[in-house]
Amino acid sequence: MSIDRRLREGFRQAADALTPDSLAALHAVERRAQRRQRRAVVVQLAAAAVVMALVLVGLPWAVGQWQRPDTAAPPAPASGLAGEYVVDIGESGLTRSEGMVGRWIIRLTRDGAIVLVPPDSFQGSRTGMSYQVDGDQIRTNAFVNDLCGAASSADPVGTYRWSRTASMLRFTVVTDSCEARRLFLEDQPWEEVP
Amino acid sequence: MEAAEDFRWMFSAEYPAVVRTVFLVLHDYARSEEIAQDAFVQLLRHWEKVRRYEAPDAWVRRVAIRLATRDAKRERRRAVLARGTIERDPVEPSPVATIDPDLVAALRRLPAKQRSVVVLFYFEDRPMEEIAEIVGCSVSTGWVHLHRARKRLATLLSEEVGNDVH
Repeated sequence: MSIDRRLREGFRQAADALTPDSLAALHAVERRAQRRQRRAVVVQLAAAAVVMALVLVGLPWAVGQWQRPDTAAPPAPASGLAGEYVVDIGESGLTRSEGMVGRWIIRLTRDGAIVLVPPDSFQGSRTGMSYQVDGDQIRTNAFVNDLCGAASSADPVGTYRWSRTASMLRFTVVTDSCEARRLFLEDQPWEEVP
Repeated sequence: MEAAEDFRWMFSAEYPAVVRTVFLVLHDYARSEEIAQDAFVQLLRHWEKVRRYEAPDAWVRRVAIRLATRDAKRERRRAVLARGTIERDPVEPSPVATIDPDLVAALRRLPAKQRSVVVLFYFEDRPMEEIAEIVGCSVSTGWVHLHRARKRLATLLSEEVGNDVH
C-alpha cells in the first residue's frame, strides 16, 4: 500500500470513531468565556484603582520634587550587571543535544550586548544577543538566532528577575518559553570574574 | 442572525471537526477536547470581529492547530529532556480510535509541525496554501514538511513512497 493511501484511510477510520459531545462542549466554552470576561473586568477595575491611588499619592510627591532644588544624583550606568561571568552548564538531555555542557564565559557590556565564549562543543550562533535591565528584571534575546529563534516555537525574548551577592549573579524566570535559555540562565548562578 | 446564536451554529458545525483534527495531531483525546475548547473560547472572545471574516472556521482551526503544535512540541521536549533522545519516546496506545496503532506510533515520531501538515493535507484535504497559512510557514516550507514526513513515515511503516503526493 502507498503511504498516501495508508494515511488517508488511517485518519478517516480514526476520525470516524470519535464522537465529541458538542452540546456539553458548547456549554463549557460559554462558561469559560464568561469567567474570563468577568476576570478581565475585575483586572481592569483593579488597574483603574491602582492608577487612581498612584495619582493621589504620587501627585503631591511629584509637586514636592518639582519645587525642591535639583539635588538629583548623576544617572546610573546603563546596567549594574555589566561585567564578565563564568557559568558551568550541567548535563541534561537538551544541554547535551545542543552541545551546551561545559564552561561558558559571558560578558555583559554596558551598552546592553551579550558576548559569549561557549565550550567547544557548542555549534550554535553566539552573536546578535542583547539584554536590557529594568529595575530588578532583565529582558534578553539570548540564543535568538537558533535555540530560541523563529525555528523553535519559543518566545524570542525572555524576562528574568535578577539578584546578586558579592560574586554571584542569579536569575529567576518571570516569563520565558525557551527551554535552552532557562537552563542557561536559571539552573545555576553565574560567578563574576573579578 | 444574532451574534450568540450565530456562534452556536458555527460551534455545532465545526467543533467535532476541530477535535478530530487536533486528535490526529496529538493522539490524546482529552487533551484534544481541551485544546479545541481553548480555541473556541478565543473565538468567542473575538467573535464580533471574526464573524465578519470570510472563513471564521479557518481562524479557529489556525488557533487550534497552533495550540496543538505547541503542546506536541512541549511533550517532545519533555521527552527529550527526560531521556536525552526523542527516538525512545514511548508510544502509549490511545484509549480512543486506535485503528492503526503502527501508524499512530509512526506519526508520534514526527516533529509537531510535520504532524500538523500531514493531518491537514491527508485528513482535511486542504490545499498547501491554506495549510501554510494555518501552521504559519511559507508554501514551499509546507511542501518540504510534507515530503519529509512522507519519507519518514514510509520508512517507519515499510510502505511505498513515490515522488508524487496523492
